Amino acid sequence: MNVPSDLPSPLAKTLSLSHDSLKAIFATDILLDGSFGKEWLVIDDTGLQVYALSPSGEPVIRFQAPWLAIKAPQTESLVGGGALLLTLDGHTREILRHSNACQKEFSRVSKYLTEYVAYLKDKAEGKSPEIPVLAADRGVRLRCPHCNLLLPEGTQVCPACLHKGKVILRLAGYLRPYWVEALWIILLMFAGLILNLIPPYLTRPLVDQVLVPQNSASTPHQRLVLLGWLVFGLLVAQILGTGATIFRSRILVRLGALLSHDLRLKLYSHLQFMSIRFFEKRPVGAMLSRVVQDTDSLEEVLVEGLQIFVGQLLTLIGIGVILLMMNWKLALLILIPVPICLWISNLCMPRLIGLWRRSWHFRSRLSTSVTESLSGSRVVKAFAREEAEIKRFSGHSIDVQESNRIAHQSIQTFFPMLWLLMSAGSLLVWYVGGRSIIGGDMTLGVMMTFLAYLGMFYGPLNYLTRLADYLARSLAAAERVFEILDSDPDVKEDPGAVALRPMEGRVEFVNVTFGYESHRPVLKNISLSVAPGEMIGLVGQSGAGKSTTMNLICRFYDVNEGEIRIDGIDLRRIKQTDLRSQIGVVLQDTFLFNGTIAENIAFARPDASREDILAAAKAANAHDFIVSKPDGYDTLVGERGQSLSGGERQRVAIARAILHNPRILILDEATASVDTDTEKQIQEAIARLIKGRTTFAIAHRLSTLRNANRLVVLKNGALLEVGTHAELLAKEGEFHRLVNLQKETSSIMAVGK
Amino acid sequence: MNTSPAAPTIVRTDPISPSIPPSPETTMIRYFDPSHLSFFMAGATLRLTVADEYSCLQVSVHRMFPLTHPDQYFSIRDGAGNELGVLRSLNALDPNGRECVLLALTRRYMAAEVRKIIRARERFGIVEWEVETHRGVCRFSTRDLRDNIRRLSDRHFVIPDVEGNRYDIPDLAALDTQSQAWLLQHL
Ligand SMILES: Nc1ncnc2c1ncn2[C@@H]1O[C@H](COP(=O)(O)OP(=O)(O)O)[C@@H](O)[C@H]1O
Ligand SMILES: [Mg+2]
Repeated sequence: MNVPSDLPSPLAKTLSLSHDSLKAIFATDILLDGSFGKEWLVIDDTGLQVYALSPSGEPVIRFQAPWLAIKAPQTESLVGGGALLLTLDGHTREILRHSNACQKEFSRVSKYLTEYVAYLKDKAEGKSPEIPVLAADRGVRLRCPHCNLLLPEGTQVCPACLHKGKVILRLAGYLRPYWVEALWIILLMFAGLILNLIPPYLTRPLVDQVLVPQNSASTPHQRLVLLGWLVFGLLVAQILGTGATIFRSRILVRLGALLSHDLRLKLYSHLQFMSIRFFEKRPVGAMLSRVVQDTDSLEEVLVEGLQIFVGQLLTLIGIGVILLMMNWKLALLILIPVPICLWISNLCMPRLIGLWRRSWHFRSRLSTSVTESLSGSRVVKAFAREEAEIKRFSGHSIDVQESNRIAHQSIQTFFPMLWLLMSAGSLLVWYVGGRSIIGGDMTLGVMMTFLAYLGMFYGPLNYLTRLADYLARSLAAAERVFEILDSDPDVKEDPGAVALRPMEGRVEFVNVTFGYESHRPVLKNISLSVAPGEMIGLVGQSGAGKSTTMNLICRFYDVNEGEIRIDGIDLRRIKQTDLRSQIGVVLQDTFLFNGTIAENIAFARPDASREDILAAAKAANAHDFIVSKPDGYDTLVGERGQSLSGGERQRVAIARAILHNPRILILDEATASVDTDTEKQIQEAIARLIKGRTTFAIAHRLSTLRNANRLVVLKNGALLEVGTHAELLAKEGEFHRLVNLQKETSSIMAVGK
Repeated sequence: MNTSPAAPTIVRTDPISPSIPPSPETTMIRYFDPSHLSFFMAGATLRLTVADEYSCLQVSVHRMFPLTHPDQYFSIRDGAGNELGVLRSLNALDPNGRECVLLALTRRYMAAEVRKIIRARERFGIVEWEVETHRGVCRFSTRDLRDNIRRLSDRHFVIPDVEGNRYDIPDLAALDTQSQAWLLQHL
């Protein structure tokens, strides 16, 4: 039974007391006057009630109607929501309203109410109809049970409840294959650190025993020898230190390059398996920058992160310990500004991160607009919109420039100030230490050594404050890369998916309802059964849902309700590669890849022999035009196949489909936009192609569908008529109307003979 | 604005396409003279009488530019969704009819107009908003806001939430500074 999980307890109490015959409860989120608020529709054996809460929290019935009074329940679709309407005493009344969030629920409700009213009527007339059931709820948006955050599509993992450290661990996981390199880096870093610690340590004897000796026991000669040794020691330490740095950097660069390739490949492979819906929602340019740029930034985080985390942290700890040992009082002075700095960092960081995100967004928008306008360059030129495009680009570019400027300027202001604050500690050291030297409590050598170490101490500290900025930039990149890696394809492969090969080609639609956005169904309750080898023509006005039907057969999208079966198996339970390898599509706007004609024909079967390709091209009536090109089958088709004419592209696509040899063939307006002569050739090619295959064809010219075994007429997403050409004409319904319309418009083409 | 009445504004693009029937009604837009129209409510439905022509028991009024020009160009449609004609503005309607049409419009267009942003918290690419609108306080979540927001001008924004609901900010500058700051932080 449907009961909202957040039903207020007084209402729950009232309902459980007075209703043993409760059927379902649905919550709305908007009141009748359009303001935000909650009301509840209660369906029980007696009829409908709408409950509201009084200001004191008591449930009150705002509306009720017994079943017998209810006529014609329906939902009205509004912009941003909908309303449930009933006819009572001959008047249409609006009984509740809801936003888009509840659209799916209330379309279920209205369907159920309609069926239930019909059921009661039938029963009253003495028939024995089936009791309707409320359709099961599907596909609710998931929220995290702990923090109520909306979960990313296709995952159950709440990114907020996932520990932050886990993200870092996860990043570190990418390093695992390169643990040898990583280990070397860490070892060399360690060695470098120790070598770096030596020179300041030698400063102390250098000052106290050689330059400004405290006791004049040593002779100038002894002092010179010691000086020699100390300088030699410094030289060795520096040479070794530099060697360690060179080796470390070389390994680091290698590691970075490897990692970056790994990430790019992983991301790209993942993208290849994402659904059409995923790409529809995301501009190509944005995806481009993720694959190309963000993976690079991510690599940078990993590599730099390794350096900063391990190297600088070690240095920081090592020097901190030395400083404390040398003079703990002075050492503590240095630390005074640290908590203040951390606090300020924490305060300002989210803003800085926001600035980076913003700048990233503008950059991705820029690359989106470039990809778009370059791929549409013909249209741009044809309409002489170059200037306008430049202006648009300039606008976007200015946004990038501005957001970058703001981000950089903020950072360039923030960090030096933080640095200033932090180095206030060293001024304290000068002052307090200076007083100790004047007072004779400390030697100059100790002070110099201390200051030298102090300088080295601030290095990593500075690094660590920059780390925040660093992490901000790169975690933003990591977020975007992970977002893709984490989003499961919304058209998922069932774990128990069955192999289907070779398929017979029987296609059944069972009460299929589908909408691109779930609150606006495009196909409504379609049922249809197609025998293997049958050719079905889909007819209807543009926007009726013909292409959508095709998309569902290819499983580019999953249905919202009902199911599609092939050979009796639910589409969602068939292995996707099996499915797609046996479905062929020829679309109106044919997409060819930049390559040769031969490569394009063999796209689905790269192992096809040259003779296979020739045969396919011949059957597609493409052979002759291909051979007449100077480069024959080696002709480059250009990006998207632009250097071929529309009809040529179409025939190459048909050849591609023929070679693919699918069991189910989909032709979506495959012959639109070509001249009659070419169309005739394409028609012939298609006639050869469809032999023995289950075929779904959409054609602008209804005459094209004369060969179809049956025609299916769609109107506004509903299945209106099914039958043979002759049957539908005789019926004088929608098809008849469409045919007549075409007859009127075209005196050249004989239609419907 | 285009004032020449009944200029043919739909041109048939494909002479053989069944989707654009060549009947004269659909190739010309009929602009109504507001003084000939009388609208009134009957229950939840809007009725229309066109003087000396016909009455329609159930009409709906659609904005043609709901985002950019919400108060100009209205399509008047019958119960089956066929366009009866176009109204350029509501101003010249009789006050009562105007009232009825406005009522129908507020009912149909449910976008809430944001008066104040109380809170906007971003977590993992999802921003959770709490806003005060002309229809009361509400909360909603947006995802990938920067990609999905509609910028109709420098100051006019429409925020779509994950459910497909819309929240309108007609003039950013008219919001208080805290609200502006919340918004700009997420754009
Ligand atoms: N990718 C999409 N996202 C949202 N709506 C879509 C999409 N593709 C098509 N539609 C809408 O779905 C409806 C049916 O479209 P379609 O099946 O392409 O019609 P046709 O019968 O002309 O092939 C149309 O109203 C169209 O605007
Ligand atoms: Mg189509």
